[in-house]
Amino acid sequence: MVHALENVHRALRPEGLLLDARPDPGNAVVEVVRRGRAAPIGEVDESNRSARVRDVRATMARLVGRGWFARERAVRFVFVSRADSVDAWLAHRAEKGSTSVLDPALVERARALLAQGADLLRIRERVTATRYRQTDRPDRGRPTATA
Amino acid sequence: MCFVMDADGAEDRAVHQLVDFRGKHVLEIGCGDGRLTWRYADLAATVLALDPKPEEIDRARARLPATLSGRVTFRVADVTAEELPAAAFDVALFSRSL
Repeated sequence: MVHALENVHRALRPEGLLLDARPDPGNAVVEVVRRGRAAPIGEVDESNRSARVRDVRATMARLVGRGWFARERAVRFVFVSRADSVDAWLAHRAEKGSTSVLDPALVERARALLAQGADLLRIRERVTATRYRQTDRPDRGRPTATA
Repeated sequence: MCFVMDADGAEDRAVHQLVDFRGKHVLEIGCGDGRLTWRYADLAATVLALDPKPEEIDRARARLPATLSGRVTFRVADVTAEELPAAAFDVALFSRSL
C-alpha cells in the first residue's frame, strides 16, 4: 500500500490533489423498501473491509505526518445501492469479488419480503471522501513499509 | 435484474464538491467498470483509469462513449507495480481501492 501511494505521490504534479473515497469501518445496512418506506432487515459483516480501511487511513495519516500529503477537507455521505432482486444483489457481489460475509438467514429474509411485495432492496454504507494535497517538502521522510 | 450503485448520487456530489475536474489530467486507481469515471470524465482534459481486473477493464472499455474515446484510457494495471509517468497528473482518485 505504501508503495502504491509513493507511486501516486510521484505521479502527481506538485500541489496535485489526491481524492480518497472509501466506506467507513462498520457494517453495511440492508433495508427493504415498500411503497417508498424503508425498513432495515439486517447488516452485512464488513469486518474484512473495515480492517483494510483502518490500515489505509493509518498509512495516509503517517504520510501526512511525514509531509508527503496535506489533508485538506473531507465530506461524509451515505452511499446507497439498490437491487430489484436478491439475485441481482448476489450477482453484483460475485462480480466485484466482495469480501464481506452475508448471513444466509438475511438473504432468505430479503427473498421472502420481496416475494411478499416489497419493491426493492437498499444497501446503505457510510462513506468518507477525503481530499489531500501533494506536498513536496525536500526534508520529507520515507514512510516505513508497515502497511 | 438490476443493481445500481450510488443510486442517490451522493458520491457523485461529494467528489465534485471536493475537486474541480475541469481541464485536469486525472489518474483513477481501481476504476472497476468505469462507474465513477463517467461522472467526471467529460470535464477532464485526460483520464488514465487503472484496474488490476481485466474483466472490469473490458466492461469499462465496452461502455466508453465515442465522445470520450480520445480522452479516457482504461488500462489493466496494478498501481503497486505500474510505472507511472512522473508529475503528470493534477488529480489522483481512489474510490474503494487499495
